[in-house]
Amino acid sequence: MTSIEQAREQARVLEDAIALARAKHEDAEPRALAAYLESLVDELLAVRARIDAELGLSADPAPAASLWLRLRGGRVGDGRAPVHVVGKMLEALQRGTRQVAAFIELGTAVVHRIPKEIDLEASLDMLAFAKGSARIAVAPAVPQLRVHEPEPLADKALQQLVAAAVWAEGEGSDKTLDDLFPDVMVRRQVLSRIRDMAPGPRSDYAEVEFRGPVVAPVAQREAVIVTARGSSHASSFLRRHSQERVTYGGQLVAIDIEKEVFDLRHKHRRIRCHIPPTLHDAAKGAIESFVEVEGVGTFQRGEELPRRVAVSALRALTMEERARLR
Amino acid sequence: MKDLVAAVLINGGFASSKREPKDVDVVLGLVPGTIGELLAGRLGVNAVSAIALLEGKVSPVVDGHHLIHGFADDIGGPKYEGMRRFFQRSDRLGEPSSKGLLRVSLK
Repeated sequence: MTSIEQAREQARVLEDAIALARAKHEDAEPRALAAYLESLVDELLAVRARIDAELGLSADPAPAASLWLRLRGGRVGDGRAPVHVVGKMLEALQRGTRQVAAFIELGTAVVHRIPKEIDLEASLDMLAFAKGSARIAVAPAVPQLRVHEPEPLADKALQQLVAAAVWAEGEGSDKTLDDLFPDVMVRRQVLSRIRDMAPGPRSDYAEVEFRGPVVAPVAQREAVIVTARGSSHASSFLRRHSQERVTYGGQLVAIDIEKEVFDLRHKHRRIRCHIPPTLHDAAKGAIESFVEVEGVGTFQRGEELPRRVAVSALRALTMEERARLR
Repeated sequence: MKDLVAAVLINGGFASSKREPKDVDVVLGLVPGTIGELLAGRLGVNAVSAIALLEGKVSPVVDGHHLIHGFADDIGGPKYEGMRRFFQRSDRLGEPSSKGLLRVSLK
């Protein structure tokens, strides 16, 4: 607890010191003078923040924010955070928001190119970087234009990411995750984003906190903190599920019957598909055609598409199904 | 640079009350005239770097705080006097409003 009167007196001491220092060194080179004054200014801001908090005036610098990210520990502190940490965090958040938004809109995970209109609607802006705690405020970049929807698409996607964070940090069961994300691919995408954002054992930060309007509806609390435990749990899931049943649509673009493989062009990537003898003829007849393959995919941990698929079923896509391929 | 430091004030919070202080509040009292020479670029060192070094900005970070929370100024300079007065007071309820500092003379 802070005594407001004494804190005001402390602030006056610092204000006087800053004024005197400025006057005394008014001819100094501006960057050098700023460096000299910085510690005094930081101390003054800290005292003023304590006064504001005591008065209940801890004004939210970004009232429109959907989510506040807060980094703590390690090399984060004193109003600073390594650029690569902040960059990685924001990139993962943006990528995950677009991936989940695409799934919400299309009902299928999008691996490569998110449709432009979804990409725009799921874009995030950074609203503020709160000095003193490495807090970053983000919000949807475009206004909510769908009047029949209660919240922006970006916020819905952010909620799903927060739900995944809660699952990871709480070391939730596979069944719980399956209920949250029944789709294999979007589940892998979301867990990969959680791994990107959560600190690892050698990270420059110890935890990341999610707070803001998108958190409470899915977490039933104001803030969710993710540590290395969350990263470890997400990684463990991906490791244990390196083989999963998958179904992909795409164009059969190359085949090697001797090696019993063909390449499926799915979006802009090729998936190596291994075929049993019973499907040789069907595969040979489908060269350059659009097909759906079903089988067991083998994933590497950080990959969202399988390295290969052991195909158990193959069929040609209808024109309508081809049109829906993205 | 160490030859330029004439005295160090250490805040009592570190010296006495906290069981595991996260950082050490120190005011480095420099030989009078040092800051003016430094800011004018007459000491042959980069002023921004030198101040960062003196104020602990390159000290190890523990729990998000540099171990050294420093303030460097000429003895009797505005920052030195301001921080001396600042650290001799407390704005926390339950603590005495005035308190002592440990002064270590190096000259």
